[in-house]
Amino acid sequence: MGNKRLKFGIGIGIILVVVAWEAITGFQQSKTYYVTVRELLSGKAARHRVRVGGVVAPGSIDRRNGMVTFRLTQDSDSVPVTYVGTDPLPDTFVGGAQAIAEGDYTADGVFRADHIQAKCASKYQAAPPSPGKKG
Amino acid sequence: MNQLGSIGLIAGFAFALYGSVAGAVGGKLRSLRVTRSAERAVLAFTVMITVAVAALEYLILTDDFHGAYVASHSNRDLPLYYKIPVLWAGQEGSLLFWTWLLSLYSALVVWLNRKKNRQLMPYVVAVLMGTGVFFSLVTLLAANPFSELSLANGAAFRPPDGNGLNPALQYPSMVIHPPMLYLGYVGMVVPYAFAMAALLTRQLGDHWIRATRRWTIVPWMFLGFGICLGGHWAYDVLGWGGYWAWDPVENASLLPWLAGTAFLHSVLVQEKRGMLKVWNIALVMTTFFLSIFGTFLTRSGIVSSVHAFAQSSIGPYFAIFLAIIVFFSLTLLFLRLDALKSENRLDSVISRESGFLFNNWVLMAAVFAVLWGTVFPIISKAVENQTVTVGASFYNKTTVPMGLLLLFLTGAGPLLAWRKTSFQSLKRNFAVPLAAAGVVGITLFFAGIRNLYAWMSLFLSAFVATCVLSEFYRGARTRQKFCRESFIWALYNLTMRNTRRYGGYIVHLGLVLLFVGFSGLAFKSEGKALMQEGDLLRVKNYLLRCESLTSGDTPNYTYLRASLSVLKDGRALGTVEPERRFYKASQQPITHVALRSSLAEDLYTVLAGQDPESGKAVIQVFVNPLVAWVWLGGIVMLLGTLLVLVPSRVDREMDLLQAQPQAAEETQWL
Amino acid sequence: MPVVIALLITASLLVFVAYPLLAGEEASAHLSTLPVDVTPQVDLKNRRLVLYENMRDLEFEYQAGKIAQEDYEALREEYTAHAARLMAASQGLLRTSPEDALIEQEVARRRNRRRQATTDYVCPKCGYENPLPVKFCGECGQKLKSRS
Repeated sequence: MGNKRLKFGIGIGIILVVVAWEAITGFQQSKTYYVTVRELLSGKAARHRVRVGGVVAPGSIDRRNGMVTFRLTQDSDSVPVTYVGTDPLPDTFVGGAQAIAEGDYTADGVFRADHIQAKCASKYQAAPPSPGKKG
Repeated sequence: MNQLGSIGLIAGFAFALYGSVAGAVGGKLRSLRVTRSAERAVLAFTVMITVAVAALEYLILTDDFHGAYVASHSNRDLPLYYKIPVLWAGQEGSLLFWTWLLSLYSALVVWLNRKKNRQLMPYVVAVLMGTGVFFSLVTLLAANPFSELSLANGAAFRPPDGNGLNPALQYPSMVIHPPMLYLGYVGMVVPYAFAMAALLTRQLGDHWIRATRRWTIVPWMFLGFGICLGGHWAYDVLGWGGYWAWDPVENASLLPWLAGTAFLHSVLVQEKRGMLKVWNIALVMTTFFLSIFGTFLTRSGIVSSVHAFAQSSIGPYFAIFLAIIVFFSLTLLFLRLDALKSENRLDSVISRESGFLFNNWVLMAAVFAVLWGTVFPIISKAVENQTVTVGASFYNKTTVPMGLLLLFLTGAGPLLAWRKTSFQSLKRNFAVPLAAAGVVGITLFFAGIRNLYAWMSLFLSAFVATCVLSEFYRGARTRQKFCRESFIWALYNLTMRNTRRYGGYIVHLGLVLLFVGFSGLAFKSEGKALMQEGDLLRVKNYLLRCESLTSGDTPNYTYLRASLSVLKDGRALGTVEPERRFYKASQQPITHVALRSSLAEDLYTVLAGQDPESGKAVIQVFVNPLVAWVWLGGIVMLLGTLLVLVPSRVDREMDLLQAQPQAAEETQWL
Repeated sequence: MPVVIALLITASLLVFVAYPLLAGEEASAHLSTLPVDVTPQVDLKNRRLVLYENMRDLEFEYQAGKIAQEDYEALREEYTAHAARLMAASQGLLRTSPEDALIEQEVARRRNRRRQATTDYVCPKCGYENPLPVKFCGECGQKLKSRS
């Protein structure tokens, strides 16, 4: 009986150790901090491998020589972003869209993003085309 | 029509409330009259919610944009087959749809059990209707699809046209993906209700398990099929060349599926050996919890996701409901622990039981890992006020080894005998599959496959496939010997005699195909170029040439289309035409992927955008090996599950026994 | 108009739901309590059916060459003993009134105790007192030392 439990325990133990080890390394590799524009500017957040969320300033998107730059804003704060990734930008990436840029915040105050996710404000939940809503 | 829908919802809510109370009272008093009234309330609930759904569909189909929901999710030029799914395209409608499916399931449970499980039914009704109360209440208070548009001065407002359905949803598999997923989520309430009823009535034998066997398999099947469709949609529509991104909403659907898979397996141990009783009840509870949790994640926008449902007020309602479920379930389980003693003990580590147990451990570990990654942003925000998200590599690192272990168990488990397996039996059963897998493994190695996980996945796939096929082969040969049947006939009879086992084996074969498809992920290649007429792009052994770049106009959208001719190793394979569409009603662009699919590999082309300076098209090309095997695996799993649902001879004997005549009662039921 | 229809539907459903509560007492007197789902007999029969199915499976797997002789024999012994116990239990249920059952239990217990004194079929592993002379413990399948 004791022997049997032991064997079973060893089996489970090995699995747990392997899984735990994989989980920890995978976690360390892929964890990214998510901050808002204001948090990023106030310097509280890490500057390396962060995701910053905000709204793409309308009219700020500038595509030149295959490079895309724009400003990510939150209320009155904003940060310039340079997109250096290889994937094409998503369809939803337009002025006024909510976007999440992933990358590094460099010393010269420009955010170098290698990955951008965007969601159009009206993507799944279009705003009703009316001034008011009755309950 | 808006009033009609509101009345349906309110009356439905009232009937659900009455049904849950009357069910509990009927069970407590053991009163048949009260119970019957409660059961009728379930049917009344179903009728009223159906009225509400019909009202909303009517509003959608008649383009009545006075309703806020219709105005924001539909438009006049939307084709009919995309107008019907507008019902579940948005928050409010999909909650109503959820409630409706719940009511249909509940009515079916009541009808099919009108002669059976009389002791359990009042509590089953109470739990089902308790859930019904919650969902109809949330729909009424926080997400009413029947609210109307009005101007600031209170006058009614009717816009000339609606905002339109999100173009990403205008796709065939997206029409059936949400209903499938919801049928899966919602259906898990039925086994949960039976488990609760069994706990409340102290009828904790195999009875509730036998009564809910199909009620678990059906939602599990829908959920699995829904997940596959979702992956297929992501692959065909989203245009990033993959089918699974570990997005929170995808995870939310995977979690109850994994827990449900664990439950389907551990149930067998209880049926055969009377073990794992507490574990089984805990698993049903977990599965149901994760289903509701999944709905919550999908609908509340609490974790940011590409699915990006709007932030909404339904979060707190769900949090309270989840807390109630946890409290109620755990209290009841704790109170009944004494009645859930195991009838047997685990005899040996190498036995079918322990195979199932390992399977459960691995599945639950996977649930834990995925859940951890999914909710970590919330936890980290709460603990250190820093939102930390984890990426795909966390999920891959944890789930890939677990998946491989699971794959191994899929083949090895059925070869082990119950209770204990001697070395002799092991040798006998594992020799052939191991040899077959060895041959495949060596061949793959010399064919140049050096990716460890991909190699292991293919090696184990060969192992499991051989295991499963040899089960069929040996079974049929034995039948042939004893019953003097032809091989094919023996194979058929073997399967039909125990559809659950052999259907299960077919599901296992489907899993093998899935893993073969997953291994292909290790060998992706991709390329990207700015192209106009005459430009060339080489990816792996493909050469693409842009023949033309055209634009056009349809009532629903305008488009830009690239026509690319494909050469593979110098051989012409025809043309592919990726498009980029711009939907007029919603003012949104979307890519339309062009695929050339074969069993060996997919050529996946995307018109990702147009360079504003040169006017050239951004063409992105992926070569994805073995993706078709994933869809094939999904279909085989679906077929296997359908086979499991066919009643076998063994089941029919049991059912006959279950339906002990309770003569007078049946005749007067309705 | 739709509102009127909705209210009509609601009202008729109310009657439908309330009807069982209001129906005459005498008409449904015999239906006032819920019938039992699983009587002890049915439960025993169910368990026996499961066991028979297990035995058929075992036989089949053995014939198919999936199980070694040693494992097969040990399992068959156990299943047979278990089935015999279930059979005895359900026959007991059929035949006896509760008082009789109590008496029989007592008799069986004493008989067991006496048999135990002469031949020992108590399992060394799980402690189960096997009521019949067996080679393997009927509870856990442990091989018992035979005392010839």
